[in-house]
Amino acid sequence: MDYPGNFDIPVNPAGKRIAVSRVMAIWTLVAFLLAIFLCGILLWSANSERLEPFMISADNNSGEWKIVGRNSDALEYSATRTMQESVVGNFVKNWFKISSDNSENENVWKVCERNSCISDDNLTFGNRTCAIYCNSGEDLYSKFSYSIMPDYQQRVQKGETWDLDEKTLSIIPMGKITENGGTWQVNGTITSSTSGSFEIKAFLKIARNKNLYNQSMGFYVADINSYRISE
Amino acid sequence: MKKLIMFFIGTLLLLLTFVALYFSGALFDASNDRKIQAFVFQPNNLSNDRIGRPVSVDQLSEKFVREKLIRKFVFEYFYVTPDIENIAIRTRGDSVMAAMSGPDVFKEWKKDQAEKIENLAGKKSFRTVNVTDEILKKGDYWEVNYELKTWDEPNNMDLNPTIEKGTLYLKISFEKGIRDQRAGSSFDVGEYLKEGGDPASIFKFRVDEVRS
Repeated sequence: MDYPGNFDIPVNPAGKRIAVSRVMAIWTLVAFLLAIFLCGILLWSANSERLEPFMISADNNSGEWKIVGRNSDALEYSATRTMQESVVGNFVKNWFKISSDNSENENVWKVCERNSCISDDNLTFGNRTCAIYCNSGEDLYSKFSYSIMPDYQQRVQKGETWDLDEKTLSIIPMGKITENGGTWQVNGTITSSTSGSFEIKAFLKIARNKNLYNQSMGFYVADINSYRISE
Repeated sequence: MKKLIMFFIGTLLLLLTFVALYFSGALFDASNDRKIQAFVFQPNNLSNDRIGRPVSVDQLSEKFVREKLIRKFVFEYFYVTPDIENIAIRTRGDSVMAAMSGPDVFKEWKKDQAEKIENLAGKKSFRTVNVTDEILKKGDYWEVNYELKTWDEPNNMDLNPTIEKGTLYLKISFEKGIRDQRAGSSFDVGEYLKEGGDPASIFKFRVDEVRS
């Protein structure tokens, strides 16, 4: 049977027109389905052809291997992570600083009331009063006052000063950095007035206590271990 | 009236087709997934941490990759950071050390070295590892000369490290290419790297025996 060409029955003269519109409707439906199918194929083929190359950076000094240039998410840092980095940066600048003016040193190294760490005066830019105490845990501060400060005081007496060159400072996270802290590695160069410049490496553990360290969203330095790398 | 309704339905269908075209175009764009490769300008002198120039394909030979992996293994075998959690992670079954060594080697390392590393980490010591000479093959073994620098005490800027030199002989199995299986099950490299996994684990490299 020639459908819809020969569908003209006398009883219903509009039969052919109905048949033609039916055929057209069916073909339109087929065309729609085909278009949707082609869209799917297009998507699939575009995806399947994509290569995902990765670049590995192998650090000969630290032995660390990492993926570079691919992970664009890594450029988005959370506020908590940035704050930890800031605490680390500011802390090492004060920890590795010995000034020729002893009153300035005493001002940085002394103990304050915890509440005064968040007073307006102490939070002004460039104020370094109690900078070590206000950003470290009790254990770390007692380590500082019993074993580090006597050494620093001896150096001051001998006329030695220390300056951490901020241009050489690099702060790298070690392992996972969470909302509650993490471990950070710091590399930098200290310029000593008596023994010249030397490289250092330090590992800082950041912890969080929102009640005591409001000035830094609760982050403080729980431990620091540093080493003189170059002669 | 009927014709008017038909006309509106036709117009609606035409509109729907355009909307479908727009969406398929948007989907096509999304499927291309264009990403901007960010270039980070570093004004500071961070040359130690700056990523070096990529190795050319000619340089990236089997020998080159094998040598890098041997260096990485020796580093993982000895390095110490003053962090007790670090060694806890390294002794786990999904660690880089476990991926790079055969079961016997990993077991032996945990027995011999991990304990020493844990003690050093507990004392807040720090140790760096350096492979000093070219890595040469002697019979079935690769000869690796290394130098360990250990700082026994933290926060003492007058302290010089203790230097220890030694040689390891490694029997390795290495094939060019990327692992498709790990610990007997299928392994999706893309996912593993996205989650921050160590890239050294993805190669078909395993140390089967270590002699000193």
